[in-house]
Amino acid sequence: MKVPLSELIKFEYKLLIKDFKRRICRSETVITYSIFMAGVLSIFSLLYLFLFILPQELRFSLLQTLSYFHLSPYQLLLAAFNLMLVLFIIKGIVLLPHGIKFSKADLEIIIPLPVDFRSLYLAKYFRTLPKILVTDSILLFIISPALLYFKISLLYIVYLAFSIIAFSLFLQLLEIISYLVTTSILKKLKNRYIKTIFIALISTLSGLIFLIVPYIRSKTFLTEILPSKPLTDMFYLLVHPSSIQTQYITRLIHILLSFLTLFLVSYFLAEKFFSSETCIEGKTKMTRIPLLLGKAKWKLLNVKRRSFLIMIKDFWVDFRTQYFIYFLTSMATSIAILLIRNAIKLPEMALIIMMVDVKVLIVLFLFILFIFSISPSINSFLNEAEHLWILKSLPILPTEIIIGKFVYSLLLTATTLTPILIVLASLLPPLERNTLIIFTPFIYMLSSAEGVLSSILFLNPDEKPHIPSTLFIFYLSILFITIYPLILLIYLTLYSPILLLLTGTIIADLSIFITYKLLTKAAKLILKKES
Amino acid sequence: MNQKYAIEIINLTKFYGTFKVLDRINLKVEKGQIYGLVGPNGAGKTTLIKTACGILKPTFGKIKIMGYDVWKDPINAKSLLGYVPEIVNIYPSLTVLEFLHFIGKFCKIPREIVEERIWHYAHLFDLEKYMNTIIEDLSKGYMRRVALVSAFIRDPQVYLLDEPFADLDPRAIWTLRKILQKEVKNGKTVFLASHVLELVEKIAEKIAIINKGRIIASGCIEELKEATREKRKSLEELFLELT
Repeated sequence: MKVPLSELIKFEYKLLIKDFKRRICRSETVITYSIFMAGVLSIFSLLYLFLFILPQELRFSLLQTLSYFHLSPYQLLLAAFNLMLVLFIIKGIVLLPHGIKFSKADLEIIIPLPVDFRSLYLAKYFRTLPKILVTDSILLFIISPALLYFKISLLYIVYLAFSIIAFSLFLQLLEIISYLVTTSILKKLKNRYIKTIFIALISTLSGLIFLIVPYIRSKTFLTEILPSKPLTDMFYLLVHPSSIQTQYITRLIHILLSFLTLFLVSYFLAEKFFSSETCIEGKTKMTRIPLLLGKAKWKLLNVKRRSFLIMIKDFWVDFRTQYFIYFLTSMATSIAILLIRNAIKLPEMALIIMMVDVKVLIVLFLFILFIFSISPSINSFLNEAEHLWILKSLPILPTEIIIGKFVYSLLLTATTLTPILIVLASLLPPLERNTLIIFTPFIYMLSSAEGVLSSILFLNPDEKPHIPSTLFIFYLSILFITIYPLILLIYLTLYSPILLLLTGTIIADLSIFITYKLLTKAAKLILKKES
Repeated sequence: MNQKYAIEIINLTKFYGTFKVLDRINLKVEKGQIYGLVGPNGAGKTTLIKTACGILKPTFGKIKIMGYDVWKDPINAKSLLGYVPEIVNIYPSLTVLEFLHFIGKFCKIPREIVEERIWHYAHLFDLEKYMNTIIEDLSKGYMRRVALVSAFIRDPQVYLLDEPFADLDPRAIWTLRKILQKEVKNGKTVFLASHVLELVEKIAEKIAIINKGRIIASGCIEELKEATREKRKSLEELFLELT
């Protein structure tokens, strides 16, 4: 006799509640979530401050730039929602979605029972709903100051909440479908090289779609059917009090219909491809790749330092996992941006640079730079996780481990971001260009040190590597606290070379001092991490 | 180094939060012997081994490996150690050969020597055909063989092995036993924790029984039997009586 769906759902919720109760009793969970909430609040209050209060000229320059490209804030918002669609598609291509993950306990307890995989899929799906509701509530909490700013009524906020939840559910299904489809294709491909090329190719193509979307100005079939369109409309209707209520209902129905269609598609796909074989926790879909890199060589430049060995090890480990795909996708997308910009818009870009305040651009560049320098350092220790015993039982000092991880993160950040930076710098006048070049290494240095420290703080040696959202937010919070004042200082002193020189010296010293302190703290923490 | 004891555990206490896992453990393991550690689940065997090899920091007490304090002189102490954990997790995206070379390089063993040791032990553990396989694709048993080989190629003075026989087939268990006995003949020391009492009884010269974080009995098997009422007991019966 089959286990009924209701029983499976009940079981999943029971596990969820037990898990929640277990976690909430731990002091580290309370601390982590407090940091998370404080981090979210600090980041977004700073962001609101940045957008609404602080630099009037920045807002003006941004609008100027947008109008030059004939892009409205509406199109930007649409592009942002479409970017989310693309990100979730890529996530599904590369990673196993949380909603259909089989844990080890599932494999040993649930699978041997007489269960129908479709029912199991539904049970797993229902289990993720509370998480989505919580995440969306946090999102609404974050955007609430903006909603208050526009004096939006409660009824419209309810509309918005519904549409955000439906959109989140849509994104989750998109990720699942993307996973199931690529898994079924990958199953048919035998050669590892072809598998890798396939994943890299479709990830890059999905990335490129995002590039094209903001340029779609006419109403095409594609822009109309995507659920990001009605959600964008919803946001816009909210800030225009004259809009009529029926428009909201039409858009809400549109989003819900998109969700239901996707749900049915995922259900039928799950019937065919959802299995314990393809959805096991901890197994990356992309099989490890020897790729063009060949066999790992531990001897390079005849450097015998142990930190250097850790760097080489991390290189091989990272470049054979999904990180390589991210790296490839990011590089391919960056090159595509450069090609498009160089081929079509370079003279226009130069004109824009002339039109807008360059000081503001520098601040923006530095700001974007440190946000984009996240991933290598944040991964540095999370990747060790259950393998930490290897490093801890080898004859190496904690400081050597930290130096290896830090320098590797720094190099990875620099190699990923520097090509874009060079192009951006080439468009600037000499003083601004030099400023950007001088300050960039310090931004890299600080963000890498902060990433390494955050990574150790959230490292769990008993679990397989994953990036908790709390870590991400925590990292961003400490980045804001340390780097935001430095960028403001650069902004204030940019047009006086003497002041800039002075500021530069102070910032350089300060960055080196903070980096040293952070790394010393990290070395102490690694001793305490127990596996 | 003219050191009588390979491992000295002095007044070792370890807390997990408020829970005392190890309680004032004192143990001295002489050089050139196999020392077995047995105990029921949750007795503190794994914690003791992890603390001894510098993975866990003791709350109180000291651990010395060949006279070097693991926490005060970690480089010298760990250079003399070979450790295999109970649950083996190795970098999944490296191949077996790459991982073993990484360990060799880390321990500054000349490449030719490391190469020779790798293939020697790979042959003994029937790993030759998997040398270019990515570790993620290995079964649990083969993963443990890789971990064992990674410890052997370091040619350490002291082996700390946690459940080394788990997941291994009878042939691999036999091979491991032979290698350990040979290593001990060469003056090396083996400290192993295991649930397989028959095996421990066969190969270990001395045994310690740990329960609730305390060593409740230690010595050679004959001494342990002496300590009980009935002298002809097996280790299994002793274990059941004492724990």
